[in-house]
Amino acid sequence: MTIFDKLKAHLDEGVVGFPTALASSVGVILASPVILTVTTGFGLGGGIFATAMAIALIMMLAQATTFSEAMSMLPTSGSVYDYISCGLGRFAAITGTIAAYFLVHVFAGTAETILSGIMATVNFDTVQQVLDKTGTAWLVGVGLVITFGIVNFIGVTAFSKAEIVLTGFMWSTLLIFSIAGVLSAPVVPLQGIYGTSPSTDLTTVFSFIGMAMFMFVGCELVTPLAPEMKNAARNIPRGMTIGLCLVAVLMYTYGAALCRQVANVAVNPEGTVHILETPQAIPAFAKQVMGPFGKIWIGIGFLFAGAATLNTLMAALPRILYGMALDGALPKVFAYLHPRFKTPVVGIAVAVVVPCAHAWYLKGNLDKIMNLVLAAVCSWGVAYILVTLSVVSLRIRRPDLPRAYRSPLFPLPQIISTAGIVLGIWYVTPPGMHSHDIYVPFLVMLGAIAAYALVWTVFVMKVHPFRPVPVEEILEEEFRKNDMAEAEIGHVHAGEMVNP
Amino acid sequence: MRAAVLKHWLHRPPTGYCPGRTLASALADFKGVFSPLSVETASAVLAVCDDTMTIEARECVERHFQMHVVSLEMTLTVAARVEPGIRIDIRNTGMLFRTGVACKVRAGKSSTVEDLSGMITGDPELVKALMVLDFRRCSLESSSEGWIVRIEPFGASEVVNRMPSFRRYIRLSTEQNQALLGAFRALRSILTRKDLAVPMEKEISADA
Repeated sequence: MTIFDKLKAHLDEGVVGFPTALASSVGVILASPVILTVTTGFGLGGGIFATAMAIALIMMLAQATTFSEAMSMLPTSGSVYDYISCGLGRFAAITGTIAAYFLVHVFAGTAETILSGIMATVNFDTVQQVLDKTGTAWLVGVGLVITFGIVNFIGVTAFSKAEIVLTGFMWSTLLIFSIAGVLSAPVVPLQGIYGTSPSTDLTTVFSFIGMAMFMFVGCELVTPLAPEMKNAARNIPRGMTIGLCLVAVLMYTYGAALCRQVANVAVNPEGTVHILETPQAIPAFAKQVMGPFGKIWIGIGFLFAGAATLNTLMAALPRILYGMALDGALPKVFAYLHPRFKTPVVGIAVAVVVPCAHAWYLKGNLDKIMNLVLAAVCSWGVAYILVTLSVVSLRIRRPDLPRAYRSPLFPLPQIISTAGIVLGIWYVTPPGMHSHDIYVPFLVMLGAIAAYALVWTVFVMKVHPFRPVPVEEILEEEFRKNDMAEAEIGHVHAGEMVNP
Repeated sequence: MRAAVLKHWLHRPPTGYCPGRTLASALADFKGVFSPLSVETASAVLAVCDDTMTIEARECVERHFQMHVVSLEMTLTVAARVEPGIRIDIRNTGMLFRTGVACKVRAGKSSTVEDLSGMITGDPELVKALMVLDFRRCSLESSSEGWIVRIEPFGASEVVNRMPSFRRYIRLSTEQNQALLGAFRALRSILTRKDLAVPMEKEISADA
């Protein structure tokens, strides 16, 4: 059996079906910064943001076809790292992977930290007034991060029992408030569904694409499921497409409800900041739709969701660092477990320090949250572009490779997604924000990880940093692992048959 | 009907969980130390190379919000005459670095428990293995059929996250593999010692 016969057989078998593909494609929609981004987007742009969302959706659907083709060629658990390794070499692969995973923690994790402090006090007016006056609301978020750092250090799984209920609760909350907001009598007289826009020129539309992209990122989580997915070549593209469309429908409904129910009044004496550009818009919307009970409901929901997201950040990153230390990619100290609690304490400390130090550096400035989100979008965008370039490179260099799924109308989807992401990054600054607040931290971090990737590939891995890795090499490695396990299992089953 | 649906919903596996995936990766890691005798979707019975001992490995899913961890619980059953109801957790000692092994008795108050705790903390082979092994849990439980030893290694696990989206299998190194085997062998050796067995008269009086 050739390696490509094995590839076909590998893609056809599997134990998980389409519902899992769909659920895994829905991305990071429940994270508080996503909801705040939509709120700010509609607040700043109105109908223009809705247009930017449509463009971002088309871009991401095009990107989904690229991810699907990459997955059908390389159904490995390494996903993004393997796709870029085969297309552009190890240097780009390490840079893209760290940009997509670690930089997102640096930027979006910090945004979540600052934001969770705001949401934690939203139902306590007196406390919030005091914190607002002293500008220390972000310290509540830092306190939550430290608390969950300690919780993870002592090995307590804080949300293990409540995860399903919390996820269901947050989905229901978003859906109920969005539908109720649309069905209720409007408080704000609007022109059109989302109101007037500051400007309708193309540059303004482009400036909202970056924000709109944030809603759809993360849909690629489904691609590493390929080895276990039944009929992966069909189910994964379908799951990604339907998942992205569902997110778009929910966000359009939420935006329409928000614009109808919350008057976008100025919240500072200068009249430069409006309520829909601040986190206060979310409880104000809830109160308008469901009264004081709605404010309590959404406050509790976001408090728990924010806390649970922070807890997840504290739980996941240290394990990744432990695994990397075990593989020799990081110093051994990251593989140190505390004798008593059996937790990777150094990794937990890093996971706590990164968002806390970043929030402290920014002094928890609420105006910086959107900058952090947009810097995270830039990081994600770089990784997506590298994946697209890899797929294009493989189509040109290796047309002979079997592809169970081929991106239709090649290279049109790749041009659409790459051009869209480049435009989104180029015009990432929405009106009223400063571009250097987004570009400087993003480029500094990207430069640092690129330098690390170069040093690592040349001096540690001792490989050519820009030479693509042969697809066969990656597939052989994946099948070798599978064969090893399957041979053992096959041996067992044969044994059972002869010795019933 | 509604209760059944709710129960099913509450107990459904987390999004992105692939039963058997972590086990398959672990079986590749176990090569040369443990080999499977029978494999179900998310569990397997493993034989120890050069030994008669069999160990059951079962995937355990630990949920977090928008994330889950799949780890392997390794179980060894040691047939012995022992009073049921004893539960002991074994852990390392030390504030910063591992200095030794300690027992925490969760249930049971007989002299067997004290003897066993002493044997565990004083066994050089077991201490040596547990000083090397990165484990999340190690426990002993007695039943009417004997002892059940459960060890959950830190490696041979997979973390699946959605914000940011990734999944990563954390391998079990060769050194950890050997330490895991060493711990099971040492515990089996301790638990089959005759001085731990319940005397016949005592068992009869307990039944009466």
